[in-house]
Amino acid sequence: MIESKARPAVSLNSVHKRYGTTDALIDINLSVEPGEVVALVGPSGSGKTTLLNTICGLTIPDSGEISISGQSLTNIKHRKTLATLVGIVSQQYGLIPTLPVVQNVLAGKLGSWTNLKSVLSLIWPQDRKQASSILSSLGLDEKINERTSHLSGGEQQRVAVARVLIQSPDVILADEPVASLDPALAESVMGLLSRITQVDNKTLILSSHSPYLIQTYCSRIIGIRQGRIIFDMPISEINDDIFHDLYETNQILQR
Amino acid sequence: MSIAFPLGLILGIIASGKIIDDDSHLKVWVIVPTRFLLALMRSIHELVWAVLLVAALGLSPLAAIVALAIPYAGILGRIYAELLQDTPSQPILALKSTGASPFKIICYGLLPLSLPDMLGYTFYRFECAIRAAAILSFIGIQGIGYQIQLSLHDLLFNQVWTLLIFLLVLIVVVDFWSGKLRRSLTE
Ligand SMILES: Nc1ncnc2c1ncn2[C@@H]1O[C@H](COP(=O)(O)OP(=O)(O)O)[C@@H](O)[C@H]1O
Ligand SMILES: [Mg+2]
Repeated sequence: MIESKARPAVSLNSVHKRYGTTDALIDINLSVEPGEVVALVGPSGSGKTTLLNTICGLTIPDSGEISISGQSLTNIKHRKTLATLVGIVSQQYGLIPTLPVVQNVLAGKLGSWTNLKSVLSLIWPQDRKQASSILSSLGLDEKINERTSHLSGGEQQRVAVARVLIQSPDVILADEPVASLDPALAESVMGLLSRITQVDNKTLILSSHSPYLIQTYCSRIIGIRQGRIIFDMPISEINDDIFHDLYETNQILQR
Repeated sequence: MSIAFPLGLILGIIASGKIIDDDSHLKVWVIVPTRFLLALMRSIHELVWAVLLVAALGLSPLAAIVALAIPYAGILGRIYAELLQDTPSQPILALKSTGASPFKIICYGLLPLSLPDMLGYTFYRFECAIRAAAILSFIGIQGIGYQIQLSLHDLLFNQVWTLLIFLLVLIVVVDFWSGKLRRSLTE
């Protein structure tokens, strides 16, 4: 325990990422402790998705260093090792539309399963009980055998959340995980994510545009604009003006 | 076809480059030779392969089977590679981040995403293969074409008609089967 306190769950050291002529991330320095629930806020195109994707290794930064629980991403050779450390609910969900819901949820286990078990599971879903209990905590137990492409956007979003929950990495990243949900569902999914983070001693970093949900469920808030961190503070210090400025100034700059 | 399908599938998956990491320098060294092999296999017509193989193996059914399997695997492999390349990359990235190995990415991502299209094309090719098999046996290899030829020589037109109708039935059955399978996959 003392050890895990000593090294941060996530740390970024002067990370840069450029796409053509746009700088998506500029000199990002960040350290997140285990147990924190961090909200990333910022207007569209500010770099939230790029930041989350670089933390989980899906996007390789041009320079800078990223470590998870003290291990540098470049030193983690196996995908399945990385998958125990960090997992992501991406903005586009990344589900396989032609598979049933249960297979998309169980895909979160592929890192720990053997090849044989993975193939068998396509015919007889393995660990079905666990998948079904996670789905029911997300209000989707009736859809377990449905073809994923038949689900609504909000339902698919929750399937993607279920997949990362069954993967159960130490650090959970979630890119606008409640963007397609109605307010009541959004609140229950946010509640579930933050509860699991606390109960299982994990770390959660999510992006969201909802001040209310962030203030209710997060412990820290980081504002990004045009690839730079503009502010980084405990949730108790945030106020409407800071929020407002973050989104407002951007529009002026664009004009 | 039962040889051409798996062979084409394996070569197609490799040639699509979808399971090899983008930053890996293996990429060029694996994909280019595979594509070249596929091109070589399909650039030579099944009749030519048959003539070559009859010279090597004699007039056995095996020669006909291999002669068909080689160019058909070449064609299927190429089409599969293209279908696989058209699959969306988001779901594949998501599977990578769950720690899935390349084999599991094939089973959980690439195949489910492209199977309906692949099957449609495979059945079409299966039809072509049945016709080609009949033609091949005109060069003397055992097969339905050989039977037709014998009957023609003996002026047994009833038998010729029976065999032709049999070919037609075979193709209709394949067509029906393919429609059913595809519907069950895409409903
Ligand atoms: N794959 C990509 N290719 C080119 N530009 C990209 C790519 N991904 C993101 N960008 C650019 O990087 C910037 C940050 O994008 P993103 O991280 O998606 O922002 P956000 O998630 O905050 O809306 C944007 O200007 C976007 O156009
Ligand atoms: Mg985004």
